[in-house]
Amino acid sequence: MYKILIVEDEPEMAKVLREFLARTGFEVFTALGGEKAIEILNSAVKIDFIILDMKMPKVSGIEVLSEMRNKNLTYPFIILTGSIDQDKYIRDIKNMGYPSVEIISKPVDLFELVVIIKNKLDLKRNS
Amino acid sequence: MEENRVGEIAGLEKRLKAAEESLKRLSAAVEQTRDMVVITARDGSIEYANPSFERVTGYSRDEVFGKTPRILKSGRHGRVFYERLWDTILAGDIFKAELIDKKKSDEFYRVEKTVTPIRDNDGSVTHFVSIDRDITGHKEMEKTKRLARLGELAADMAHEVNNPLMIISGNAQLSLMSVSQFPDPEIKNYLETIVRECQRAKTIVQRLLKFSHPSCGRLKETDINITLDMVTGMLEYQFKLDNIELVRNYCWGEALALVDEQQMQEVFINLLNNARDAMPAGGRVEISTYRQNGMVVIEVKDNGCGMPEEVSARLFEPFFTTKEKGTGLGLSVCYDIVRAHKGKLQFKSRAGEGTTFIIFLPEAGRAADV
Repeated sequence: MYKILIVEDEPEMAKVLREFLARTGFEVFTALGGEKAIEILNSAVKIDFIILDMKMPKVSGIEVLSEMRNKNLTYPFIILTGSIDQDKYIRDIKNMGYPSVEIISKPVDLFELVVIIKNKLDLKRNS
Repeated sequence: MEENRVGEIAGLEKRLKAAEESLKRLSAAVEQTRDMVVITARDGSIEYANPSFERVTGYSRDEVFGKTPRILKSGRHGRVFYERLWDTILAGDIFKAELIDKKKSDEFYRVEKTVTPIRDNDGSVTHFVSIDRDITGHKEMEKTKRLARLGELAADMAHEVNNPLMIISGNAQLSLMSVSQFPDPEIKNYLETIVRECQRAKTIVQRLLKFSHPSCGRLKETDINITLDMVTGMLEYQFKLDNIELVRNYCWGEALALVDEQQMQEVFINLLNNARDAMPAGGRVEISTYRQNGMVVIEVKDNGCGMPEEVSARLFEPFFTTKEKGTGLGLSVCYDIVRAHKGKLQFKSRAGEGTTFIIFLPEAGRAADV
């Protein structure tokens, strides 16, 4: 079973994502904010995929990605955001050395989100 | 005696000189002010126009001498407006209003107008002095500032609204998953409506954002005929259901313009959807393209209900709508997108006879000479 980490500061949003993904057959971990995400990523849990919110208080999505870069953690991820600074996010993330970035705007159709995640995991398995 | 007379003449000369000086000063003030000053006789015929009038309108004094200010009429104000003007000034009162006039070059400009009646010693009105302040730039600046504020607001709003929207639609989708085990078509339908409407709210937010950030994104040399084919291909089926015939009347060869294709698609979709909405009982939409004076011209013509003057005067105004479910942003977004491409968006419309929207875009690789 694939392990998915949801990084999302808004509890109701995290809950919807967690329940939907759990019902679709994923093992789900939730981090209600960037600090918790970094804690999980540094733990012994081996994550297969990350869904990352950008705008979060204290530790933002960008900071989580920067920490991953520093620790050489190469988990696949997508950005799920309600904010509109997408071009800026893409620039900042590419500047950190990530070769590609996929951003999905909220609200997203959850059935579509699952398809996107499965495709990414298939790509990962085949490579 | 002689000395007195000399003194008197000297006094008169002095007063005459002072009067002359004063007259010169007054005339210099009128000649040099940035406001447009026009003096007309009681019947409206122009007797004087200052250099600012010549500079702004493009008409020389000689050209307008003896004519009436009607030559500046833009057609943007109805008969009632001008009747009110005349009623006011003929009654000896001052008329003040903002209005849109037309230059010799057919370009519109906006002024703050004050017309003051001039009376002779008996108190009867013999002339009028009209002072126009050009506020075209002011309005543009105001609009830019308003848009910048709206942009900030919209960006914040997008984030604040998109999150709850996703929570709502997500919960509806979770419920859909649950009901799929105990199918109840009615509940399924309610839930699907929630999800669909959340997506609609998302597109409204996105349109609002586009409206406040109308700058061009990725500009690419694009064959407008192909873009139109993509858009019409997408809408054709729906139009057929609505009993609307789509007629393509493209120019030969390519109609190349430097555009952000996605934004241009949005413009075409908006115009076509408006055409459809104008024909609830069905009808015909004709899309034509041609090249003219370094421009690619696109016409979207419907034979729908057309627009009365009070609607067409406010057509590009944000949030102005006549549709029950409209946001009032469609056409103002189109207007701003076309302007950001250094193009023009115009329309012709008559109530009961249909509407034609005309887009002018600079042809790729050519400087516009219109």
